Amino acid sequence: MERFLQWIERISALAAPPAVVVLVMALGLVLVTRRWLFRLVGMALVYFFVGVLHTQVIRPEVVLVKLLIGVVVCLALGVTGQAVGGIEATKVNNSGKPEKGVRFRWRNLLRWREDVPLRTFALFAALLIAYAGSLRFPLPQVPFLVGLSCYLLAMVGLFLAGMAETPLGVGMGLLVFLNGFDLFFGALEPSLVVAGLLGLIQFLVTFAAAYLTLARAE
Amino acid sequence: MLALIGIGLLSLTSVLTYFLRRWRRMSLLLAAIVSTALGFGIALIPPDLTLMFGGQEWSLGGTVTFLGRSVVLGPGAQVGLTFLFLIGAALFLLAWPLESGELFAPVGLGVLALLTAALVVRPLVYAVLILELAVAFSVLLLRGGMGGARYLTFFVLALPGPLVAHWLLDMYALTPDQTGLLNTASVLIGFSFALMLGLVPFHPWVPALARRESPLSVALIFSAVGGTVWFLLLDYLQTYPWLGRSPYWSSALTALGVGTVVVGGLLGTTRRGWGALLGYAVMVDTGMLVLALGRGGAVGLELERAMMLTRAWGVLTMAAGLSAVGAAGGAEHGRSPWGAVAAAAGLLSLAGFPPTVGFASRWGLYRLLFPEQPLMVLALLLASAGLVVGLLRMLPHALMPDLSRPRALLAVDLLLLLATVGAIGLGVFPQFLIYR
Repeated sequence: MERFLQWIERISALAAPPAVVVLVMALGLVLVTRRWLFRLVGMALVYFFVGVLHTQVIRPEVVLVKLLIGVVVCLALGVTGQAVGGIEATKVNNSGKPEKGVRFRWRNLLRWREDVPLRTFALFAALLIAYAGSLRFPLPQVPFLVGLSCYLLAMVGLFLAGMAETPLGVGMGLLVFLNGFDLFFGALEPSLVVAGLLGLIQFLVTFAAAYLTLARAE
Repeated sequence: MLALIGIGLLSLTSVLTYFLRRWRRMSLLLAAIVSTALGFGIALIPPDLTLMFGGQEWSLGGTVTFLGRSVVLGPGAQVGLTFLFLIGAALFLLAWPLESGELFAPVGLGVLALLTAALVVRPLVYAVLILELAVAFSVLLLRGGMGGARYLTFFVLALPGPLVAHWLLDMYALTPDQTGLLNTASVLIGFSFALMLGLVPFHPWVPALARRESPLSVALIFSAVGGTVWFLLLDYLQTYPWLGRSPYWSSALTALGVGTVVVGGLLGTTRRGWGALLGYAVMVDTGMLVLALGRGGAVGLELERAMMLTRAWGVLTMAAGLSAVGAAGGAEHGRSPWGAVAAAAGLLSLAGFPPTVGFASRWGLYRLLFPEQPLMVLALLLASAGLVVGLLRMLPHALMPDLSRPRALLAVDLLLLLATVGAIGLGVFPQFLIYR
C-alpha cells in the first residue's frame, strides 16, 4: 500500500500535463464514439487520470478511495452496457430478422455515425470554453491545469448529458460532470464526510442510470 | 432525538417491506401505519419533552449530535417533517389499490428517511448532499426512460451551487469586507434552487417526468421531494437572512414566478395527455409559490405554507385520479369516471379554481398582489385558465362510462370520492387546513 501511494505521488508530480492530454482523449472517446465498449474504456481512463490530477490537491489515501469508486462505477456501467446489448440481441432474435450492426464486426469500427462531426465539434467547443474559462475565471485553490481539467470535465459532462438519447448516456454525462466538480471541490473542502457523500452520490447516480436503462430496454 | 428515531424507524421499515414486497398490500399498509404514527408523533409530542433511558436524560426535540453532525428539530423542521410523513402516509394508502409496483413501499420509505435526514441535519451543506442521495434513490420508483434521466440531471446540476456557496460564506466570515463573495453565493444558491424547483427556463424535467411515469410515483417526487426543496429554501433564508434582503431578490423571484406560471399555463392548453397536464399544473403552482416567497414578510411566508399544503392535496388527488384512469401515457385512455372526476378536482385545485382548496390560498396571493400590480394578476388568472382549457380538452373522453363492462362502486372509487370531496370541502371551509 505504502509503495502504491508513493508511486501515485511520483506520477502526479511528473504527469500533470500529459494527464490533461490523455484526459482530453478519453473524454473524446466518451463523447464522440457511441459504442459502449469504447465509452467504457474512456470512462475508466477518465477516472484514472482524474485520480492522478486529484493527487495534486488531496491526500493520496483519499485518491485511492476515489479510484476504487471509479472501478465500481465502471464495472456497473460495463455490466449495464452488456445487459442492454443482450436484451437488444434477444429482441432481434425473437423477431426472426437479425438486423445489420447487432453482431460485432471489425469493419463496423471504421464506419462513422452521422452525428460524429457534431460530437467532435462539441468536444472542441468544450475545449475552447474550458480554456477561456480557466483563463478568465481561474478556479480558486487549484493549479491551472487542474482548473482547466475541472472546466473541461464539467463542459463535456453537460454536452454528454444534453446530447444523450438513452439514460445510460445521461448517466455517463452526469458522472463526468460530477468528476469535474469533485476535482475542484476536493481542494476547497477537505472533509472526509463530504468526500464520502460525493462518492456515494456517484454510486447512486450510476445505479439510477443503470436501472432506468434496463427498465427501458425491457 | 425524535428525528433520529424517525429516520431509524423509516429505514428499518424500508428493509422490512423490501422482504415483504411479494405481499404488496401488507407492505403498503405497514408503510402507511409507520408514516402516520411518525407524522402524528412529530406533530403532537412536545419537543421539549425529555426521557430517561440507560441512566441518561434524552431530549426529544432540540439539537442532538450524531456522528459529529448536528441534528436539529426546531419548529420549522417539525412542520416540515409532519408534512412529509402525512404525505407519505396518504401516498401509501392510495398506492394500496392504485399502484402495482412492488418497490413502492420500500423505496418510498427509504426516500422519506433520506428526506427527513436532509431536513434536520446541519450545516445545510450536508442537507443538500443528502437531498441528492434521496433524488437518486427515488429514481427507483420510476418505470425507466428519459423523463427520470432528465429529473436526475437537473438535480445533479444543482448540486455544486450550494456547496461552493458554503465555502464562499466561510471565506466571507474571514474577510467581511469582500461583499462580492455574498453576491456570488446568492447567485449560486438561487440558480441551484431554480434548477431543483423547475422554474423557467429549467422546467423541461417537470412535464417530461409526469408524462410517462406512474402518477403516484410522480406525486411522491412533486410533493415529498419538492416539499423538502421548499423547506430547505426556507431554511436557507432563515440561516442567511441577507439572501432575502438583496435588492434583486424580489424582482428576480417575481420575474421567475410569473415566467413559470405563464409558460405552464400556455403549455397547459395543449393536449399532450393527462400526465403532461399534471406537470404543467405543478409548474403553474410552483410559479405562484415563488411569487408568494418574493413578497417576503410574515404574510408572504404564511401564504407560502398555506399554498404548500393545498398544493400537496391537489397533486395527490390528481395523481390518484390519473392512476385510476390509467392514462398517464396519454394515448389510450382508460374509462374510470370517478378517476376522471378526482383528476379534474385535483387539477382545478392546482389551477386555483373556486371552490377548490387551491383557490383558498391563491385568493390570498391575488389580494396581496392586486393593489400594486393588477396586470400581473390578470396574467396569472389567464395562465390558470390555460390549465382549465387543457382539462376541458381531456375530460369528455375520460368521463365517458365504459358501458361494455358495468361494475359496482369499488373501494377505490370511495377513496377517490373522499379525495375529491376533501379538495372541494376544504376549499369551502379552508380554516380546517389553513388560516388557523
